[in-house]
Amino acid sequence: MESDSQGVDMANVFVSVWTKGHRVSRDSEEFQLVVPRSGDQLRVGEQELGSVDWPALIEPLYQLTDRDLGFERCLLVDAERFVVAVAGRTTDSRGRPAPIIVCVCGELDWSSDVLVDRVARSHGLAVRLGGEFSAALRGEKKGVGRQLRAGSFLDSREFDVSGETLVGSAEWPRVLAAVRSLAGITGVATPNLARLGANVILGTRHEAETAAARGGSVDGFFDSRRSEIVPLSGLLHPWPKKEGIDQPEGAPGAVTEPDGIPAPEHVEDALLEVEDTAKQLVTATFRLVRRLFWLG
Amino acid sequence: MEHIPSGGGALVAGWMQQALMDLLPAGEYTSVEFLQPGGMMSPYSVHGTARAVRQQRECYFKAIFPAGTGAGKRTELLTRPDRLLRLKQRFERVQSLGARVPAVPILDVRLLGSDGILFTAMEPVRVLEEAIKAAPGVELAQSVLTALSPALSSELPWLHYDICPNNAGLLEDGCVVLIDLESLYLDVRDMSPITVLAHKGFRDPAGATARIHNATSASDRHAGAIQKLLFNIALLAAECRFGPASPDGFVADDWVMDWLKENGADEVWLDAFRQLFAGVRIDLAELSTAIGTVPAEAAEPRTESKAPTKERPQATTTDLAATAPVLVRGENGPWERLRTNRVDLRRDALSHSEVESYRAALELLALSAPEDVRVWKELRLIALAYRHDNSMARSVVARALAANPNDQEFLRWSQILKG
Repeated sequence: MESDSQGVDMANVFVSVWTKGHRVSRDSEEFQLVVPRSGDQLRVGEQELGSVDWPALIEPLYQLTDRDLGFERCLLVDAERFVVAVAGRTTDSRGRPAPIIVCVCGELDWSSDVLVDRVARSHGLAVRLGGEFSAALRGEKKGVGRQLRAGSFLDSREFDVSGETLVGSAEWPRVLAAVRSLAGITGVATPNLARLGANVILGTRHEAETAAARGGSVDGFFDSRRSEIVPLSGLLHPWPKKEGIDQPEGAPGAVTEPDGIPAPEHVEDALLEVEDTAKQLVTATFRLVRRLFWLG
Repeated sequence: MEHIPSGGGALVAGWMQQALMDLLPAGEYTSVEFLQPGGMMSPYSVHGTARAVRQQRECYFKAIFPAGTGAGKRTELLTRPDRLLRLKQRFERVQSLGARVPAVPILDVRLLGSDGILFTAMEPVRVLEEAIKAAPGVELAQSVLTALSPALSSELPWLHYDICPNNAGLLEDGCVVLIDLESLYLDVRDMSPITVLAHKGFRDPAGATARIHNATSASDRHAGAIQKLLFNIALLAAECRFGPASPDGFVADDWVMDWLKENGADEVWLDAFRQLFAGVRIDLAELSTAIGTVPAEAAEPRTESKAPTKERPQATTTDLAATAPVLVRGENGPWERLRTNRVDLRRDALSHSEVESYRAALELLALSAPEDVRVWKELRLIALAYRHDNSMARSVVARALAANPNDQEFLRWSQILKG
């Protein structure tokens, strides 16, 4: 196994949990970090989560069904780390519904063959722990509150993901390949979790534009049909070509797209469909008029 | 804070469950369900099932609470904090040895809280008693013999002092393992680490028991312990083959051969047990092969109960029928009428109230015939193994000695219980 400079196994990841209504700190009524019990214990990569606008993020989550909540996902990336986040539902210590966000943070090597596997397994871990912790935190359990305050809810935040189930194994290879091809991406997320720090929406252009209109920092969306990220702002751009090095097509950093934003195929298809429908309407109206005259 | 409070059983069990839930990391163990108390440690422990989050699997757990200030002598003996610490260290060793010891795989062992509740999470098993009741057969017997015999012949010395259908289980893959970890000892050539013995003497050959108690050296004692272990494994295998045993006696010599014959055991089984009673170290793997070659029709258990034969094992035994004055002979005497209770008691098939009713009947019997040592032995067994009450056992032994002042066994028990 690989190890980083701090002796941490590269296959291991770190878990953090955010929810509300447990008296962990003086902000117990707010959506807050519960594992670890203090933001000081977050690692590089997780610390940015401390500055998330949590009230704005969790508000739409209350409206979602459990099934829809299960589809929410977010992947934040930088050159060396990733954070996978998922959402779930639990109750606070008084039995009121409360969202729960489970984040899994790990080291990232963009050139690694196991990159996709690692992200998909981390996603699997986040989903699994989301379910387990939702149940553990549900209801009035004084012992659980004491454990959260004492920091003994978990023995360790460090988990080995090698035995986890792969989640999103069809999606992550395509998403990560697309993420690798553009510079300026901070993360990809479903619209409701984009406020965690992702600037690319896993959804349609409409969802991306709606998210942007609601104040999110959205710079593009992942077009799942074409398996590519469609930029919506100038912040996303192809990586500059490295001079003097021949890059095969599709390699990380290789420029494969022409300048400018291409019109996606599916938009053209949609326009053609509209055109067809209009033609059919005209034809139908013409037939109706002729029939009326004939009857008259 | 974690010391057990005084009070009724249900109150104490409820308190222990709550105390455990407060201390057990809720993020590590979810879906905790407590099971009905049972076993020798039940007054000091809770057990149940849970989901081990880190290991991604269901587990069986047991939590033993430390003895507090003012706890009785027996409680202190079983659960004083330094013993729990030693148990933890032993369980960690068992965990690290893995399949080299035929014990249930341990997923986690830890001391919880400032006083140290010993929490052990294990792989869940199907208790062998259930499998025996459901479908006894040669294959099950062979599984026991093959799973437990290789370890005996390995370089790793281990002893289990309480092998019985309740204390063995089947893993998911069908492998037989021992599940009562408190009775499992490692590195016991000198026997000194063995602190608390289980009281199921009716499953042991008298010769082995005498060898352990009368040993003049550590190696003698160890040899007696190995004889007991081999016998216990073979007896467990026989139950797997012929169904639940009907133990009716104070040592195995009283009932095992009769029970085997009643169930149509062939000469392979009978010969093996004759040797075991005589203290011969038989090869259990060979026995496993031999029982597999017996024609099925010859080994079918008999449907009709056969009258017990007069044949007795050849070993040096304490033949109670010969030494004890018999209160009532014949099938309709009070002692005989209590046979079902005796058998059920030894099968752990009686509820607490049924054990109490049985004890009351025995007390009446003891009043009418105080010279019958069998009744006193039965009362002592209940006091020690089912009530876990040393003072009750001392009272039984004192009354037995008042009526039978020269009884060597009760004289010895008097010394043991004084300690």
